[in-house]
Amino acid sequence: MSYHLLRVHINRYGGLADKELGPFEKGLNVVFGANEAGKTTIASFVGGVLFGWEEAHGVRNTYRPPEGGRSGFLEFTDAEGSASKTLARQQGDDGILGDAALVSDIDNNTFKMMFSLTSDELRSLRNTSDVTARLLTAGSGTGSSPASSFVELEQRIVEHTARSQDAACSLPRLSDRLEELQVEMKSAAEAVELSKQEGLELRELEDGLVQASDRAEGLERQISALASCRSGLERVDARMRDCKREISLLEAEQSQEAADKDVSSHVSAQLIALEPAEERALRDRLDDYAEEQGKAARSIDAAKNESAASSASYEALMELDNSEGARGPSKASRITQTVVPALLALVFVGAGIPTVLHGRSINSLSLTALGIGLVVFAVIVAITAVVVLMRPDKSAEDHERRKRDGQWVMLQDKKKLDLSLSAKAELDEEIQAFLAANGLDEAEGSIRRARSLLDDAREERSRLSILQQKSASLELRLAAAREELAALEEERRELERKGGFPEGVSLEEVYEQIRSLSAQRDSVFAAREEMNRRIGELGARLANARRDRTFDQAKLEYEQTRTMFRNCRHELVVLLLAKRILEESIAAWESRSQPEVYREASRLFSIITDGAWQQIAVTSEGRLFATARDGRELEVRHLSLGTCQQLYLSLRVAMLLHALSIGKAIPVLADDILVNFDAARRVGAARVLAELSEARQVVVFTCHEETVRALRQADPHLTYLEL
Amino acid sequence: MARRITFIHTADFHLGAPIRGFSSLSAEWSQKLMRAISASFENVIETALARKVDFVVIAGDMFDSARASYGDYLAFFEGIERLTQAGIPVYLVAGNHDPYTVWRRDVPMLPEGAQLMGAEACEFALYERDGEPLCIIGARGYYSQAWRVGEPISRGITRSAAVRALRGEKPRAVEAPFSVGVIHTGLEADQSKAFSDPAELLDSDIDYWACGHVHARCVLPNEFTPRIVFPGCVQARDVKETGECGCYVVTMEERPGAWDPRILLEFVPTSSVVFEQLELDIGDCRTLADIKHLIISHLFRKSGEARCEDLVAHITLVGETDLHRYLAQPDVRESLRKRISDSYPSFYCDAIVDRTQAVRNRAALEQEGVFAAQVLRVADEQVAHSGEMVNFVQSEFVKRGVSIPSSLVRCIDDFEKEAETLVMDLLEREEADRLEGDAL
Repeated sequence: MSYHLLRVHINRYGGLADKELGPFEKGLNVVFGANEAGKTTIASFVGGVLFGWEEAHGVRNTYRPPEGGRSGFLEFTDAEGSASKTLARQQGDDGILGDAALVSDIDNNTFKMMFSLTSDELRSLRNTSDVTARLLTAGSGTGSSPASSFVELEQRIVEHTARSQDAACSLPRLSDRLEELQVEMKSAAEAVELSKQEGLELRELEDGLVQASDRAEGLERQISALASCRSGLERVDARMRDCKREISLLEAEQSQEAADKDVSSHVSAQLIALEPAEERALRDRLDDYAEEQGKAARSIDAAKNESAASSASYEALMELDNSEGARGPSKASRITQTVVPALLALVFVGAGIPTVLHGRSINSLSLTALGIGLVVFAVIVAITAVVVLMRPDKSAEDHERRKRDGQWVMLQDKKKLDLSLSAKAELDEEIQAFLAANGLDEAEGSIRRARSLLDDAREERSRLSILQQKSASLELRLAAAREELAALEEERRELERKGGFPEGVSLEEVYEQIRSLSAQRDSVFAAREEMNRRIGELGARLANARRDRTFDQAKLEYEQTRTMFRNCRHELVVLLLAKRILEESIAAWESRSQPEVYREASRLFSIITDGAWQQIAVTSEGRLFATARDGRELEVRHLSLGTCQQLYLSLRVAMLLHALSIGKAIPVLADDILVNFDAARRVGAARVLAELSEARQVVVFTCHEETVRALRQADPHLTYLEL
Repeated sequence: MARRITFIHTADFHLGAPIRGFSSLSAEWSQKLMRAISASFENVIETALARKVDFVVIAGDMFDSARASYGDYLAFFEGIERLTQAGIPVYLVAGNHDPYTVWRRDVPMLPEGAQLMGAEACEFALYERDGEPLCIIGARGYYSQAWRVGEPISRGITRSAAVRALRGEKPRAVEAPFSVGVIHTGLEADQSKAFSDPAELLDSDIDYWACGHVHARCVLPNEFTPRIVFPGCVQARDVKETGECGCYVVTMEERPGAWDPRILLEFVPTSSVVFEQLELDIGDCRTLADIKHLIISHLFRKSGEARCEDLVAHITLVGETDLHRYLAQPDVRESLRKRISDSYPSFYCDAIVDRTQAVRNRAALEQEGVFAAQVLRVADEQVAHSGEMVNFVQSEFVKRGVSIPSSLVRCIDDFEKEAETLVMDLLEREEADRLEGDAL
């Protein structure tokens, strides 16, 4: 269904507001208005609604409306006036509103070059290859026009080659992205290399940490050993000092003891030297002597008493004897009794011994036995005689015996007394000798004094013993102290050896060694701490590095982008070839179309110029030239302004007539294009426009009445509108 | 009783290599692909531990030139340590991507039981089990990333050389019944990458050549008598490396009366994600939903073939179809791609490339004399003058300051075809197509 413009509604556009113009008819329309009535504004408004408001450029067209809130709509209707469509555009130029299909067969460039005609536009047909191609290939029998296809190809090529943010296939943009990704990959690769180095560093640090720990433990052990050594040395040295002090004290004490020991005593050395057992024996002996002395004294006393008693008893007997007589017979019988057995014994011995001798000489056992028996019998008789002899006489005997006894007793007692005295004297001598022998001379035989001396000796000995004991004790203690000192010295040497010190090392040197080792240990600890810190830091970083996929992501994105780049480059090759195919095809097609168009343009040019110019043609280089009635050929640039405009008007109208499929609903807007034409040629141009209006809707804006007249002359049925 | 050993032959982990060729990965799949190589390496380690193999040989390129992230770097050495702690020795050689000059600093990271074999010259080792010498390993890797031209990397790797070299330390090496050569080589196909003549390798007295460098599996002279073997990479790193990747579990067994052992290969897939490039003819599809079903059915099939759950695919649609006018629209393809990717968590479609053609009667177009026929004529002329087109594109690229694609000369005809299709699509497009496509 064919539509044409019916009305123009301007809500606000430039200097116009709430302006409505129309109704327009399908054919030729003339809009007459004085200067500044809004003709150019209305023509601009129509283009603005169709393809977007244009920016104002100021000086070139003084009629162009200023910027501002612009809105309005165009009303289209079909040939029968039964259906209408509107195209509107609101302020802000957000896009066309309404049925866009009305402008789907034309683009802005084609509209501006071919449908929106002004005197200025008619001076050339530059930069219109797309438009001419579009027009020249109109009616090619394709779904889309070759020209629009060409435009799309060019657009796609631009998308592939421009650095457009919107175009995913922009090769420069993809190339830029590839470069960015290469930088990212390089950075990520460097990070990986760094991680590898850090991994090696971590391994070395872990090994180093073990070594440092071992070293620290070793130093700790050394320090501990040295500390132990030091404390040992301190203890040993302190003890040695004590020992030495003790030794000197002991030695002083020992000297004092020696001096004490040398003090003289009245007790003889012999007594002092007595052993306790000897002393006990001596004392026992003294006790014995004392007892003996006592006994001797008592014996003397008893002997004296007994002697006195016996003397008295004897004297009494003697006195009695004198009074009673003598007692003789008993003495004779006792002699008889002694002589007879003595004789018998001699007889039997005399008989027995020869018998034995004889028996033995004749080897007669019985004689030998008889002899022996006689001898034995003689012995028995002798013994019996002795016994009888010894048996006293009863009364005399008793008296005698008593006298003798008395005498004997008296003598005996006297003897006893003498003996006792003698024994005592002997005892005293013995004691004297004994005491002398035992160093108790000073006792001078006195046991008491001897005992006293012994006591003194004991005391002395005790004192000496105590001194000796003290001395021994001192000696022991000294020895012990010396021994301990020696042991301590040995212990010190052992400690020095264990500590690796030279003999006689001072504690200060040990302290210095410990301080040195402690410093080393602290240094190792610090290094270990630093290693631990670095290990922790590296461990965390490497754990992150292990999880980090930046490198892989960058590589994958790079490859994807590279693939996209290749695909787009592939597409660009295809697009360039396609463009070339289409370009050559259009050229070939145009070479068929152009003659027809130029023939038509030549006809129209001849109409306008009333035959003064007969032909419009184009050289193989694309230069236009016109042929005059007299055969002159002039290039366009040599034509007068009016003739030039007439030539381009002819060309445009020819192409518009040729390309009826383009912009079917869009009116051709001519804004005072005939001002430079003389009257005759204005009439000719009016005829041409009237011819165009038979195929397309034409709206002529003018402020010249002669133009209106010329158009009315060409088309008496034109639609006249006045502003 | 015949002696036998089992070992894993693997190579080309390329730890740290970015996965190439994708452009539309989601965040979740980006994460999967970032972990893919290290996860596959873990699969190799797990396989070695589960199979309790005698030893593992890694024929170079453990790390990629792009360098691994610190996490992957550590994971590698931890994986090797897991093997050595399990009593499985590991013999490695440096590859062209991780030559000895790069490795030198990392050698101390290798645990005891793992040995980076020689790079300046070949080096030998003896594998012993319970004191019994079983296998001689002769190996050589890259010293620097460039190999000395004219010197075969396998030079000097022989049993006799191994016995001589090991005479002092391992006098019983001569008793070992098996021998394995480990080299990183492009064989004769790549003269610049430590070439080796396969014929010389086959003639040598080494039983099995464990090779690395070639990312595709390759067994010479044939699978029944494998002597020169490339296990390929353990995880594809480029969308072009399609299908399953993994390592070989190699069993060598003495054969009574034969000088050479019986060698059995078992391929163990290790990929954590497999890639596929599917070219699907959608001529029979009537709707976009049909296309989706077709793609998903193929993804299932490929996933089953690759023995891997996760699969990322590039789909190229070909064929003549009326759906072309929709598929030509990037947003329609993107919508279809997303719907496929969202269908199953194990599948991801990174790209759908439209190489379909609208159903066109070229002869009829030419007869009608419409503009399209003109386009076809021009396109044919350009194809006929491809050299001129190459110059044209080059000049246009230079003019725009864009680097010229290396595939330009090689693929100019394809580009021309695409350009013709694009022009025809643009010309035949109608505004309603877009709206209809969006609705679909």
